[in-house]
Amino acid sequence: MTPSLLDLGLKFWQIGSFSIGGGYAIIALIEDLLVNQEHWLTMKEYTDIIAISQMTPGPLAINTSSFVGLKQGGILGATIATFSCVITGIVVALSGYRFFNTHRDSFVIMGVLRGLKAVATGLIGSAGAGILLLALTGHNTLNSSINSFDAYAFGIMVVSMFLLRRYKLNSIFVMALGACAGIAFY
Amino acid sequence: MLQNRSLFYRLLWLFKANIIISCMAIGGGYMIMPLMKKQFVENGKIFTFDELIEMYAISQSAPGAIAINLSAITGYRVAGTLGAILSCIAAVLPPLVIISIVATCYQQLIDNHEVNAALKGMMAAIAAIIIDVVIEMGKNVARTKEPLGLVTVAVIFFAAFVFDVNAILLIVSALLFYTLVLNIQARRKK
Repeated sequence: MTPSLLDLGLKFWQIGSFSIGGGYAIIALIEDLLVNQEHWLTMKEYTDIIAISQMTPGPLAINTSSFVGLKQGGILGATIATFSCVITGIVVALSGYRFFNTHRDSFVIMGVLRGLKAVATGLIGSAGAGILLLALTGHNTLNSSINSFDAYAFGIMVVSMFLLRRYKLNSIFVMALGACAGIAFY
Repeated sequence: MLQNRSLFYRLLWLFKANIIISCMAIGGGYMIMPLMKKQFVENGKIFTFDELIEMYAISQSAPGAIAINLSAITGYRVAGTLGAILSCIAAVLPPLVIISIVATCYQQLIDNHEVNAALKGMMAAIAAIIIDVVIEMGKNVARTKEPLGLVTVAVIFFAAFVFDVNAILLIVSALLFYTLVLNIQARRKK
């Protein structure tokens, strides 16, 4: 059954509004709403989208809303799904930014913002460690990764790190080098 | 200085910067941090890295994709509401177009040996890029000389990476904890 554009908008609004923490925090929510409840996607399609999201740019939520919207309602569907998915986040983020800006002289509020900055550092650190583990071992959990170490990936990582820290090379360039090295080694 | 240029110029600059960032943000939303740093802090010299981390922290605490929220805030900072809208459109456009194209032939792409090899190499480079930016962010926290900040970074890292604690739970707990501690500190000062 083809959903109406309104249904499409409402479901993606729900996904965009109730997923905090970014990235892969929303995998379960999307699976629940779109695969199990609405059947707009099969499980196979969804795991494929996750795989595609890893090789194409853009957040998973945007990729999913584009894919499902396109499939269920063409270009208009994709536009509506994507817009509905991002609108809550944009409004909340901008309100938050304006709130912090108008309270620059408050000891407590600025302290809380410093706390959030520390949280961001920890969370990106954790994501970086996860990607490192995935790159070196093919798994992103700690316990399953000891006996599948990839020396080539480790080499690429070390060289990239050196180029970035020592020579301050552009990260886009480093990514391209990594891709070329991957084709050469594997 | 970009901030002194006409609104039209700033909007054009924002559109270009966000298209570049969005096209390169492979490997989850976290790549936007180093990419935004390059465009806004180093190339555009519009605001400091410290300010960018501040904006990122707010984006991360709002629902939805962090990358899009951050585009909205940086766009707003450069050119007001119009800048925010235009930045978001520019951020969403590349994935929308790419997915529309890839959706028709993704099976071949997933099974292709060269694509997978390039991706594996790129993932190792992306790990290095993210670790590099985390080091810079860590230095930024250390510069405040508040032990609490460094403890927070460590606790959040271990909770998220080793124990796999949900990000929302960590953000909300940190918010409550900081509000409590700072209120006590503020009262003592008086």
